[in-house]
Amino acid sequence: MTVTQHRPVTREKAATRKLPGVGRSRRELLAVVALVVVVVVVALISPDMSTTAAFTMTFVLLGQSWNLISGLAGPLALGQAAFFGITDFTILVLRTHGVNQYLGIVVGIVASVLLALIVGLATLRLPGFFFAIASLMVPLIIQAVILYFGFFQVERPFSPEDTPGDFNFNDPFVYLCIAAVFVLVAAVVTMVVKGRRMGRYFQAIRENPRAAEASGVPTFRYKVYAFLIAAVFASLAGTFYSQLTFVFDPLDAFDPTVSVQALVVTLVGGAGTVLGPVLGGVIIIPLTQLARTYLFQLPGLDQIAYAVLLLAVALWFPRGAYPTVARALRNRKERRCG
Amino acid sequence: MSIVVNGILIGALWAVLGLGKQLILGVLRFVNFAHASFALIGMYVLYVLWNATGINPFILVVPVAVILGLLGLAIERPLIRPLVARGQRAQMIATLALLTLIQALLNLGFGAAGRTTPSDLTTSGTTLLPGVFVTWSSLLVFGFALVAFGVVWLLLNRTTFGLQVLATSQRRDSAVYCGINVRRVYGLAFALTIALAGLVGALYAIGTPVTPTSATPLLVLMFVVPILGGLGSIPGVLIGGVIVGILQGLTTSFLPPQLENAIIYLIFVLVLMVRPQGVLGNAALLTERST
Amino acid sequence: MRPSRLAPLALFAAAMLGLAACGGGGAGASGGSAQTVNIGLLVPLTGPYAETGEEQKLGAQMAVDEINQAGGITSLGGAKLNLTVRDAGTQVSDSVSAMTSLLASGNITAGIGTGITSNTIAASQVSEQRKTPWLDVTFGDQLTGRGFKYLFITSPLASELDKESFPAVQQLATEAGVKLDKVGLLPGTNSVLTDTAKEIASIYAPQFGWNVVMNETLQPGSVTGAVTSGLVDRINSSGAQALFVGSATPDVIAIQKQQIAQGKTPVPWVLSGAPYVSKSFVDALGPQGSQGVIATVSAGVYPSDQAISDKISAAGQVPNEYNLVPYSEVYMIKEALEAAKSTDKDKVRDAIAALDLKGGQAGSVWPCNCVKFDPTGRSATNKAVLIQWQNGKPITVFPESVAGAKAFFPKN
Repeated sequence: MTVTQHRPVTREKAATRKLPGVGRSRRELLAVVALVVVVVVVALISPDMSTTAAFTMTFVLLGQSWNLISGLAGPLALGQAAFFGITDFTILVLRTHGVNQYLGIVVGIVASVLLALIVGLATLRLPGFFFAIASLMVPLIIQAVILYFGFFQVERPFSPEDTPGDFNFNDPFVYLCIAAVFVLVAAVVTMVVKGRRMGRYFQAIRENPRAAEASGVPTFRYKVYAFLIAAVFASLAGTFYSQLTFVFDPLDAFDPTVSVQALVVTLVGGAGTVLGPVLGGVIIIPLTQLARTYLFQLPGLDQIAYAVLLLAVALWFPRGAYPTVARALRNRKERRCG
Repeated sequence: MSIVVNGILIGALWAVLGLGKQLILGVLRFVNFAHASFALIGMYVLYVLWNATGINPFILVVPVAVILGLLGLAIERPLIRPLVARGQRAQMIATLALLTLIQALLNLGFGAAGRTTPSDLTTSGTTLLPGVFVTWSSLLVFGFALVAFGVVWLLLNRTTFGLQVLATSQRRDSAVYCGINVRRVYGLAFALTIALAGLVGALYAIGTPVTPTSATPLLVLMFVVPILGGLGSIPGVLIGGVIVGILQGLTTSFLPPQLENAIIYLIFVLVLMVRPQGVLGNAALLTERST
Repeated sequence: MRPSRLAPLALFAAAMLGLAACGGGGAGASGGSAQTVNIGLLVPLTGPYAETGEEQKLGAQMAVDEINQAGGITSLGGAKLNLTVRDAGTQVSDSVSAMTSLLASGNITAGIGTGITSNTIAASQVSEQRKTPWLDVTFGDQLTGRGFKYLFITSPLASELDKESFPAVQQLATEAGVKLDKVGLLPGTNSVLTDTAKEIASIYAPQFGWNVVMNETLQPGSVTGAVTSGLVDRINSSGAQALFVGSATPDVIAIQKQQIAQGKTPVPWVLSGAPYVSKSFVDALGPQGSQGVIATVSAGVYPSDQAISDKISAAGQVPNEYNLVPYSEVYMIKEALEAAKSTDKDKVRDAIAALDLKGGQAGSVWPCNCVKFDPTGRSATNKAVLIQWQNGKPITVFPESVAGAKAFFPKN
């Protein structure tokens, strides 16, 4: 029995310190492009896959949102559903009042960023775990208020014709393609943020907030920046969700399950990397769909399979798929060269 | 007045719920999202025991707590111990998975229809003070909660085990050097938190239909109570539980009941902003845990 | 350099395989022979609404088994029905994905589900795009009026239902010698329930001279502990003689129990919807606790349907809208198949739209003993049914033509 076994914090930090640097980010971006292209091509060949593929991109965006605030900058956010849901809500409520959906999306994102600013200023000063729990409450508070005002379901008016001028398409493939572009944009933004001074500040905050503060990093301000960018990504996810599900239901969009999905996608792929959320999303979402298609013999069998998969990830690949595989390959290469 | 009394009675149950969470966060430093699902298992174990024996459910809650404690011991070694070493993120993923897994398995085993463990004590009661009516069951729940609280307090403050827990929670390495079997202390402390969760679940379940989603209201509440009362303070948890209990009653009576949870959460966030260490919390623990 | 680029590539190859298997699996599974007709059933089998899903599954399966035993679809050479069940899950996105997966194979002739308004709004977009006839029991008025061709809603609008049920309740009270003066409304967070509460307050209360003394929307699952006693105190002090609409079942149960504990006869409930006609409800309250509780629904069992009722009870459920309506819906699909003489989805759709049935298994669960849809795809004939818990059994008490027993209005 060694002492280090009992020091998980140190271990985790050691792992984050070895995270890929700036140079590798570009290669990750190439992999992101490749993954996105593959998803789009698969959906093109098999139109039945379009909906799943579009949901995959939606949850990748949500994952990228969590990745930015929690994977890169550090604070553990458990309430990304707030920004996801508020955009979903704004777009569909405005649409039922006849407002063009493009305008709705812009208003939705602005609303989400404002919310992030308020919530961020109020809660981001809280130390680690306390911020996590406070952020968990935020979507639940908004959910109760929206329900109180009587918005139980807000549905998107159905139109059998495509109206591109109103962001209305009947084939989910179109949404998939647009979402894919935003996934690439989010990956580029994440890469740029990581590479700039902001990224180094984030790393300092993540690894030791007090040391960062002491050495002059404006930790609070940068955490708020991260939170705002993350809110925009979550808003984009909410935008596509509203289009793919046609309905906003506060009990659905603000459910903790949504926030959890963001975290799962990122952690399975690898937090703190540009590729992680994309890889995680491309693994998790089609796999759940696969489980739904083939494991229906007993109710909940697909969920059991999903849970077992997550347990396996937590126990054997706690760093996520990308860092684990990248390290394995690196080790093999070193062995070959040495 | 009736609201305050009933709030205190149910608050004691929320406090026990928070106490388990307190231990697992404070002592084990383990992020357990699955905690509420052990309360759910407790609800079903109670139902199974009652169905098999027909004994008064208020007697059965004791064996439920024992069974859940044993379950905690059993899963600690293969599941929790490796996770402690794998860091917070792995713990979150694993316990979220466990939450889904437990709900799905119970859904598979018992179906979705509500299972009720009935008790006459939920439909009879007494007038405690003029104008204050309480059911026998809420008095009994209060009693059990206080006993559980007392036992845990004695265990932590008056026994060697308690000292070991304290030592381990403060300085793991030094505890090892002092000859404390840290793994054993961990295992027992984890089992204790699971037993408490099971007890809360069983007490909560008497007289109400239990479904695989019954633990959902407890999920967020169990984070609120210990933090509101103050992390690291056992009397604080009791205060936190009672505050939540009374607030629930007050918001229902004077405001739209629909906003009940929203108001509690809002108050919670405000308390965090003003006094992050909670009502009785120790500010030193706060900075220590901030990493 | 190269190996590290290979890392993600290897992984996405694996993911691609997964995706391909998903699409390929769908294509490969198509049996599509004339000997079986596949009917989809998309209902929640996990999550908070799972009990309704289990009920719907039982009803649909009962009908499929009966039809197959009786020789299948005659006009299709005795083709057998096959029920393909999928979990609609909790999240709206789950239902959309599950519907996509269900219809991906292309061999589902018609389908039934989900019973949850939001999830049906979302999932029916997929069935509409795939031009698959889809039937559901949902009261929300959002479902029809969207110009959907393939969606059929077998329940009437909640507002239509209320036009009959509340006058009936008023009549019951009058007959029992109760002058309803003060009523309380306790809807849950659901558009159908709050709309019903609004209608009572704006239409029925003025019409019958009721004073609405309490109108609170309850968040499902929030009525525990001090909340219960707070609510019951308010109910008692408001002097309400009857409570309308109702929130989630555990909440109604908690309120009822607290009143019984106080030694009072509980204020009578007139609840909107089938969840209150369930095994969970009567198990938790018992015959005494549930005695006299009235539920307003659109389908029930009548003295003539004793066989159906017995079958459902034997399977451990209480006959209610959730198991009876899918039972009827499978028979509607059967009749449509017989008429269409084809499994072509467009022809089946047209046959469902043209259905005009009197009697038979499809009509048996509805008070009119008939089936017909209006041009928007909503049931044109269905009317209100009042079910009352009497001695632990759900008895149809209105309309009188199909009532199993006389209703009584509980006095407190």
